[in-house]
Amino acid sequence: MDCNVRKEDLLTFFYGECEEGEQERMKEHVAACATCRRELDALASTQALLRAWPDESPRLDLTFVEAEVPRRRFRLMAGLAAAAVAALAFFLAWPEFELSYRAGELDLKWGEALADEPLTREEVLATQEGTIALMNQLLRASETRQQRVFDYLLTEIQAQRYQDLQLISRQFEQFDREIYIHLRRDEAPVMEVLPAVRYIDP
Amino acid sequence: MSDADLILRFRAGQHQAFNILVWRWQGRLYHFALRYSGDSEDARDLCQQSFIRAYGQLHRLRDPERFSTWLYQIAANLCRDHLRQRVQHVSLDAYEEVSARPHPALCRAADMDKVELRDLLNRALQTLPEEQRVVVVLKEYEGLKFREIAEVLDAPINTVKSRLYYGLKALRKTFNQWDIDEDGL
Repeated sequence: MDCNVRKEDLLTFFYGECEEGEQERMKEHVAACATCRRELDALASTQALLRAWPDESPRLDLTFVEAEVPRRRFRLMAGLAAAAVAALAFFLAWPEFELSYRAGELDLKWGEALADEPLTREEVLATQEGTIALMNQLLRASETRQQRVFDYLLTEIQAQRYQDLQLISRQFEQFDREIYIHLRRDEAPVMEVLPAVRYIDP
Repeated sequence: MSDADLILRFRAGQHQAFNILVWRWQGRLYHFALRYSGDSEDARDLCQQSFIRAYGQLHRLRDPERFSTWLYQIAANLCRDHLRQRVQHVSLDAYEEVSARPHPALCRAADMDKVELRDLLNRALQTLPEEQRVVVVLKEYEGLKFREIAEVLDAPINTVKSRLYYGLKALRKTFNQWDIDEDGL
């Protein structure tokens, strides 16, 4: 180039990525500089040719399949649930307690008569609190699990919908192609016959 | 739902979120690999390998907002490695085929059908050095900003601009030598 503008700056201007103010300054320069205008015209011409290569519709359909979930996790959950059921059965058999469920949490209250039992009151209360904590933990785990299942199903539905739309689109393309082929095939004999047709006045 | 949201869902254990990312990006990545490698079968393989690598490394991506440039980075690295391996096996005949001048009757873009034009442009792109070709593809076909291309290629912005300039100049020269113009496009 004969002028002082660097090729990098001219490219930045060509792609409209100059910083604020710089774009205007370059615009003014280009208006007055025949060398830069020639260069920009050549860039535009090359760009037009390159962009004549349109995107295609590749049939890729890549899908990643989830690895099998280890069974260990289920065994742990089953063990926890069995322990909780056993603990609950133990407390249900006890004569002096009140079990209630409020605002998403379980609450367990013990009567005064337990003070004379072989276990101390503190021991029973500690066991009771442990059980309640375990039950609450299970309830929260259940809620979290439900939420995750819900989210998972939602993404599954979205993914399925996307696949269905792709399939429909492909079927339509195929349908279009077949119609086009039929039309071309039917058109040929008609075009041969048409010149021979004469209008006969009744 | 944005790419970043899908990445967060994938990390939270929702496997299908990654498939949505794949379906969203597979077309773009395929075309990038196609124009970079010049071969549709290679492009399919490279596209698939890119997603497999992305699947294994997605937990390492610090900023989910940078997913697209990160994905292009993976694909560009795979394409570059693939091309370097291929160069070792390319024959002289194949080189001559790529650099051959097209028939003069095919040279007006308006007279060519889409397949001919696509093949011709592909051959023109493949005449560029690999480091110029990747910049031309990322800029002209993928529409990335200079800053993003610099990030994908881990190169200074001015180097990217310089490679693009010389790449486009070389293409212009090739088009002129082949008597190709954009009349009628």
